[in-house]
Amino acid sequence: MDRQETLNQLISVMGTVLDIKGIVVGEETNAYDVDGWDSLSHARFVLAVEQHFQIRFPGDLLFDMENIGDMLEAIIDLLKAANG
Amino acid sequence: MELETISDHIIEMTKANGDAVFCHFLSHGKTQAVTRKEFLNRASAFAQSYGLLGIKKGGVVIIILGHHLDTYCSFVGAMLIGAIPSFLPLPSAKQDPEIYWATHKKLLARIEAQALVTTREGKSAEQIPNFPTTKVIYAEDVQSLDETNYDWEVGQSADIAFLQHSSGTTGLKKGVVLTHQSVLNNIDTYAQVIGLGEKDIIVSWLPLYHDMGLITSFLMPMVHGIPFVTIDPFEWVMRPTMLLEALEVYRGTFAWLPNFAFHHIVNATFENDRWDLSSVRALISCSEPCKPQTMEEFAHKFAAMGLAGTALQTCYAMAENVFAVTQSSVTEAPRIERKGEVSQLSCGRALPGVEIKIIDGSGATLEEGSIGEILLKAKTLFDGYFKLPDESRKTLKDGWYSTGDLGYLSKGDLYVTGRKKDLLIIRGINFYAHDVEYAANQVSGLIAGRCVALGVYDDTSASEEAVLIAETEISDAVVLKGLKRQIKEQIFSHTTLIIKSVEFVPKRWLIKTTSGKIDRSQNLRKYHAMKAK
Repeated sequence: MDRQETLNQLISVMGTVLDIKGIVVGEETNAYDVDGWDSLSHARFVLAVEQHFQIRFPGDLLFDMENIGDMLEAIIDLLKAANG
Repeated sequence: MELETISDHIIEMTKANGDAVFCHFLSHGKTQAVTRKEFLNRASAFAQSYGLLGIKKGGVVIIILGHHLDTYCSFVGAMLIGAIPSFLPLPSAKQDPEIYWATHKKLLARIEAQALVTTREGKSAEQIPNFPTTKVIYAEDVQSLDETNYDWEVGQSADIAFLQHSSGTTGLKKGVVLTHQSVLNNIDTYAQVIGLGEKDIIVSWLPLYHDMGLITSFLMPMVHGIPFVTIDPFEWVMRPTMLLEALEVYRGTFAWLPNFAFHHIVNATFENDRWDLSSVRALISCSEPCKPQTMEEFAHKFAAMGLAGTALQTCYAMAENVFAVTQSSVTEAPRIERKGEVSQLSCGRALPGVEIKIIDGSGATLEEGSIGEILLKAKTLFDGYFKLPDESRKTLKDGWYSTGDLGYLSKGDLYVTGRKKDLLIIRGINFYAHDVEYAANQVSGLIAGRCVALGVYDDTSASEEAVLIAETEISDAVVLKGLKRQIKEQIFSHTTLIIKSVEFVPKRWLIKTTSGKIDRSQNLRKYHAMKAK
């Protein structure tokens, strides 16, 4: 799966948890750009992403991801590690 | 021998069995079992450091630390020398550290704190200012002791044990003064009411700067020699089902949670998730209005995983009474009553030694079933707010404490319906602001959780009218018009209240307290100021 396809899937998962209607989501998008993206919905978003990609973010990374781009990088790294 | 102080209890228990588990400390996938002896040893190291720095009996020691064993040890360490510890929250990632420390500097000066215990870790540590009279102690610099010292002058039962700081603007935080005898009395009574025994294990993700975490999941198990399992609050928010994992692994029997946490756990549980929750005796909802639908949703989700039908319980508590005021019976599900259009969940009966009365605006005691302000009297009540005599006089009259909460008594049970200023009385009919806001929050287009319902006196109707102030990022007038209609329809269908006006305001217009609650009185003032322009 290439970077763009991973990003598309990530945005699709995001839409199941957060209201992103009318928002153009890109790698720079962060919690301030999306209504209702607070710590509780962020947790639900992370769990949905983990389930979709079959990965688990390390604990310390959970608090360091500041935007969609950070999350995308982490997913790509975790998928690479999982596939050897 | 009568044990007069909280510290006496941990000293005597450690002497009796120092190898018993004090707590299981969970952090980022690692677990650490800490014995009583290890705990007291580290607490003694803090006590020694305080002594060497000249911290005296009665001196206030402020502790600002995250999820770390030293957070617990530094607190008990202060009590070992008769000093007065108090937890305050760390700055959140989104808070400006400069503003955070500037306001704390004022607070520490006002309460004449002798020491601040914190850490060099984290971005905010670089901004710690110079305090003129408060000594800064970094937890990582405190050297551990080779031998545990049991010989401390811990003080007497009437001494102040600690301060419990309220939420609210930092500079105005009020320190609830609690003596050892009040704390031990409330803890013992509460433990008896819930039937806490030596086989129990308490599991918690609660922060210690809040009375629920401090009392139920640290001091009560410590005093009763019961192990507790502690989870990082920040980690828990991201992985809420950690609590269920810990309950299963450690065969946990009790946990305390606010209403939102039950909902958060349900939302984070996937279809195939399974835990054995058969060890759980009670999950107690407290510190937020307890909603019947939240409890039902949780019970439905976890009944098949062994959660007993009576496990979901309720409690009404406040720092001014150490903690618990009422508790539902742990052997049966809390009662639910219809009050007008709303289902109310009982918070149970008053603890032995606690008297409750409900009063109206003139101070007259109301009969059963009538809603009014909850007042309470108990020998475990606080001794006022630290260095704020006027504030203390306002809330404590003739031994009765005015809680500012609204509720009613029915068949011996207390039902809490909201805060005093949360009640909108529109042409003689009562509406709860929480319910109005809940309804408005169902409409998409508003910033989630960022609206407030206020009762505003209107000359033309000679009555209060309901106004909803809601944050939105939408600016298109046509869209806003449709949104306003949707909100009014939604509120009416939920509550039968017709809102007079909906005021849209930009993002971050509304004022919140430091604990994240919408500050009604401040927002009412801000609304009047906006209208006066």
